[in-house]
Amino acid sequence: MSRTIVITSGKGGVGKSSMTINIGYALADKGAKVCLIDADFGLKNLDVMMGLENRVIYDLKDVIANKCSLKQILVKDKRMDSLFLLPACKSLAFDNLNLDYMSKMIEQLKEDFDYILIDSPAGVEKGFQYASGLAQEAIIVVTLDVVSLRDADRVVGLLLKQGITQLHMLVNKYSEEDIIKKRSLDLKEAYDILSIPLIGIVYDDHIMIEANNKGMPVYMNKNDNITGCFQRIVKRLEGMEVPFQKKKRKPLLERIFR
Amino acid sequence: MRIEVKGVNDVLMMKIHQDCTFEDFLLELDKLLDQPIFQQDGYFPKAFFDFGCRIVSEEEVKRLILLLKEKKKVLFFGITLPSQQNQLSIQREQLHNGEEISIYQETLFLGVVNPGSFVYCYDNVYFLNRVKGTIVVMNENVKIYGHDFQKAQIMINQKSLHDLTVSALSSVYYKDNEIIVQKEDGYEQNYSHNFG
Repeated sequence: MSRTIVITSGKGGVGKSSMTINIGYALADKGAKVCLIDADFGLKNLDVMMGLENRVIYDLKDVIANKCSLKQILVKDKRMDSLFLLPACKSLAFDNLNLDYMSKMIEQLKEDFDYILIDSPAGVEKGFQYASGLAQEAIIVVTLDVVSLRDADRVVGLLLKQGITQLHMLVNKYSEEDIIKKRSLDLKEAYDILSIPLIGIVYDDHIMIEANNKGMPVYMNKNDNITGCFQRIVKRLEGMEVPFQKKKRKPLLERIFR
Repeated sequence: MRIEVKGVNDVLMMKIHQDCTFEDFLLELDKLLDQPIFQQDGYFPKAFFDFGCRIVSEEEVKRLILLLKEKKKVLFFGITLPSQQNQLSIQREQLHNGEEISIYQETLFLGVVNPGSFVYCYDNVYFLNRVKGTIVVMNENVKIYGHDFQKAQIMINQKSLHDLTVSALSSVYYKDNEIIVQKEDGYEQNYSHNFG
């Protein structure tokens, strides 16, 4: 049974695209066949962050214009054989898109993939409505700050109205130090605001920025902390109960001579 | 006899026994109206039918009136309607940021009122969960009750109370041009210094 999950947040800059890519990699690493859909029409993010920019030949506009088939626009990842990307199209406006057409396309993709992850654009406007209209589940990416959580709460309300009741909260840029020093909210406060189950945390780490810039997803760095976070998220997505990843500290010498 | 007849202030009160079906009642009334006491030419007593707590359908009322019309012995003066009790509605949903809801009758609010959401109250509302959003009281006679207000905003009669944080059972209402928060212990607190 194929699952279609939208990754959304409301607020921009919380790491929706990074989470989409890395969850995609973690699922593919477990043997699932995964398709990532970049629903940020008008902009393009996922292909650049995955280092697949040069491999994109066709895009959604070409499928709509019958210039190519749906299978032809799917870009296979260069590191994982079971991971594919459906790239966005810079020149495509939402007015040219038909939700019924997109839904049919998703149904077609469901025949070939175990997971379809849709990277939603920021905001709660047309782009978000399009992306969420195609999914049955949602992962809401938040950071532990009031604005992100308030926006996420707005998104939760809108998703529930759309009939998407299977919602998960993913806390990105998690920093124990910030929580201890009361610089950010904690997980309990986040849960109090959203009241949806927490599917995982991803530690704040500078390698995330580096990975995105180099087009090399952080999951493939095999960094114990971050990779472990995504592996656990995937396990929870599949219904397993696993504890949260504990952040491992670097050895003393490595910390001194970094 | 399953119809008890009493004369009260020029009106015949006809009390129908609770176990009597409507069909039996009509048959019995038919017989009753044929009794000699109702055979007085030129005088039509008023008849009021007391059905107790029974709910009489529109169709049944029509049948009763048709029988009275046919018999031409009494004037239909009315029937008792089941007394309307105060109904408390229950609101289970959680209110999310940006959502708003209007409440027109006394309500038990079970969900959380999140920051950025609005509840417009036209009647008393009892909040059983956290209130972090804005409560707008649309009628100055309305009271709201809650036990966990966290930086909530209360607006009554164009006055506003900001950052209300109370963790004891309290009622909030409008009195003498002020918003009053009364705690369970009966201590009234006037928040006029917080008005925005």
